[in-house]
Amino acid sequence: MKEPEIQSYALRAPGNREEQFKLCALHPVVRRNYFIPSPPLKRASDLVLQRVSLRRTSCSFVAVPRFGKTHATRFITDEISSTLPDVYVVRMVCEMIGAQRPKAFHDFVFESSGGLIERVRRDASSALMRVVRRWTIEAVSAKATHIALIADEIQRMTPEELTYLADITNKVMDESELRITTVAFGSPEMVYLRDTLCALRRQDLIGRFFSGLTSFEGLQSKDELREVMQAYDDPECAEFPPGSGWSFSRFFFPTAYQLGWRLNKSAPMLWDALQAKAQKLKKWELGAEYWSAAIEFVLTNYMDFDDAVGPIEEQVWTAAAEDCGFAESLNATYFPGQAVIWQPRSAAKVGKRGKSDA
Amino acid sequence: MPKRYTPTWGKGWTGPYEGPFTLALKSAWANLPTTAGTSALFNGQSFGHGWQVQSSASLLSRPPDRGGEWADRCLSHYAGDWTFELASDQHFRFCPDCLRQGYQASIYQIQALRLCPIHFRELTTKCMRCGALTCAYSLNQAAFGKPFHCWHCSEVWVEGLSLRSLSNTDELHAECEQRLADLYRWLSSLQKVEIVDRRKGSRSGCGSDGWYRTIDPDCRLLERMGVDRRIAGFWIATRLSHMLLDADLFVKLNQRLAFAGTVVGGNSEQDSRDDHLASFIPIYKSIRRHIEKTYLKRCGCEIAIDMQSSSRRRMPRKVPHLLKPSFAIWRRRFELTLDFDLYKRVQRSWSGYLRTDNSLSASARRCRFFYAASFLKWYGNDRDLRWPIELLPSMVLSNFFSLCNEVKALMDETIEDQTIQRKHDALDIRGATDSIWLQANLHQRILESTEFPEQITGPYFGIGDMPFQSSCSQVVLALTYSSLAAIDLAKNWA
Repeated sequence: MKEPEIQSYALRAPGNREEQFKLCALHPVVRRNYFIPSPPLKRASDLVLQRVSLRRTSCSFVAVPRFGKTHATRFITDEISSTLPDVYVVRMVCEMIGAQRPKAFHDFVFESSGGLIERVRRDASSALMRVVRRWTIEAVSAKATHIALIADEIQRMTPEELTYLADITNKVMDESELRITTVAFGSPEMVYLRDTLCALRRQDLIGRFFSGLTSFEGLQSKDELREVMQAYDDPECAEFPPGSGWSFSRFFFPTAYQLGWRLNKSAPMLWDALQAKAQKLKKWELGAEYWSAAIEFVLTNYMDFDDAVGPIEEQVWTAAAEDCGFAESLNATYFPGQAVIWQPRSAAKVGKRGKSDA
Repeated sequence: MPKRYTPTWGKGWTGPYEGPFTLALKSAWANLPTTAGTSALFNGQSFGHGWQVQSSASLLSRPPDRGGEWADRCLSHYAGDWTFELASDQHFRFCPDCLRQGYQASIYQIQALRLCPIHFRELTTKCMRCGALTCAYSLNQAAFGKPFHCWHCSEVWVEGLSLRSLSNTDELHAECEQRLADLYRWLSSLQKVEIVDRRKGSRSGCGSDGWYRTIDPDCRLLERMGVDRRIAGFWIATRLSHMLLDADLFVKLNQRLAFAGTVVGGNSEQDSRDDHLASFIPIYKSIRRHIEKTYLKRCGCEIAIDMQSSSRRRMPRKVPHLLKPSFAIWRRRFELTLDFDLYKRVQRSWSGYLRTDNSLSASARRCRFFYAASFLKWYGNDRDLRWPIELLPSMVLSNFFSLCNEVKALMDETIEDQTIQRKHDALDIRGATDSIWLQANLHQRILESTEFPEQITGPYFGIGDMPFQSSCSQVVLALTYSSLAAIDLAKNWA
């Protein structure tokens, strides 16, 4: 199908199986190009909003891989922008550049902020100032009084790079009296980074970037899973085609949807199927990658325009739980029951030293 | 959606009619680019594609074959060929109040504009802290190395300039829109006035050799009197294209410098002045003959110059006396008679000595310099031989105007006395040939003079077929000599 044809066709909801099939290729679920805020994400967002509005130094989250850090940073960025208009938000996805020289890191930060890098030699101080100027100018232009730096994958940074980042925040404060709240997201390795900083006696960096370290959780109960799946049923949260008033679940099972089927009713079945994968663990969490993959599996694989009952069979959800990769992640990327955040080894010593110094 | 990379730029940083210089300064301050990076913005290129402009490329006009984001903000976009005749890029001119918010309109570079049309503060080219002159209005390292800072004291040009003040410009921009529109409209209308080169009969180009040389001798006259040619050019332009603006904003021309000649239209004013002058003709003639008899005959018609140190060069040992062309002009102007043959002979004999022609070869320039030095030495200016010969005509002409002024005053006082003839017959003007006036600061003297005779404010030169262009220098030099004598004469009378 030619692209213009698809676009004009996509403006209205499918009327039959053939149209549904054609539009399916454009569906966000098929393209995995959508976002549904989960309850843990909302909790994290509320915490960030609270700390940013209180102008705290930092707010850090440790998340297991595939739990939805990147989407979380995007969501939180939007939330801060819409909720706190006097806060300018910079989002940065950290990379393992291993910058031995500050210039390389400053250039990276500048480019992450949307800055245009020119291909000329420049010294480190001018590279630093360029970042500082960009942040301050953007903030002042937006009439902001505070800056929120959302740093994703912060565990990839080295202590040196954190030092350079601290230089930037200090310089911004000097230049424009704008304070910065660093909202850091990282995988459990960021705890090792905190330990390293502790061993290096870089408490200044720990205080600046790793204070208020919190675990970014996954879904912890059937109810939370139902809440997420309910979003698929709600056209206000998830609508396709745009303006059609059709929710995601209705698109894939329109007849069943009209006859009363709802996706969220299958939440207990999916949860039980995943529980079976987690074997006898009493407490486990479900990452965003897995619940979204399971739901997408069911919607796309069992899509049926004329189906009157919807995917309500247990084996469907068992297959989805099998396919989503949750089982493979157990004890590979996710260790249920194991604390994601632990106290640094030298924390006690540091604490004592700190007290005695005080 | 792919991420779009943009240069850093603040909201409210671009004001109406804002010139490219402050825009580039803000860009440089925000992005810390190299000069090449900044220049790229004027040439339709993104950062980093280093099309190297000359480091001193003027920001009054854009490169003709380049279009850039801010190219339309150059003054030349509005004023066209008149740009360099009205505005200077020698120094950045600003209003302190405007610059406090990072704003400078391109018209602030117009030399004749004295006050900021928005704040009515005097435009300046000096650092508000140390008084050092600002850098050139061009892409240069002094300006863009540390934007908004004085190259001399490294302090910011005006106090209060900050990041927040740069963005807080809503009121200022509204004022600019309101108050500058008329001036820019006038500049745009000026573009329709074609600059015509009389010699070539074609449109002349902009540049240092612009219209003032060819379109109106008055302007050249004013320039030689020490008035900035751009200020003179502005007032000429106001005649060519009517301007409905507050005249107090602009530098006023001293009444004695007011020119009467017009580029277009008739010459009725000149005719009436000539009628008025006719009543003085006998007196002027008497003065001239007296000088001629008592000085020229004594000194001879030629001036001997010591040229020994340049024996290898083919240089004349004698040059024609300055008084000869002086008297020719005197007669042309004040006696309304002209021995044109004599004038042409004089011109030929002086030809080549004092030409200010850029086409001279390097060796010819050296010869001319040497000659000029010898000339000044002979006239007693042995203290400083480094004067450029080009300075001499303006000094000479200034002196001549002083002479005319004082003679006029004298005439006014004594016209009813009927004794003037007897008075000046009794004068001894031999001492008047001393060259003290050449040593004095004549430039300053003419500026201090407050009056100028009305009847000599018209065009002196370039009338009819007189070959003004090529003979200006020697004519003016000749006038000096007659001035010296006549001023002394007038003093003795007083």
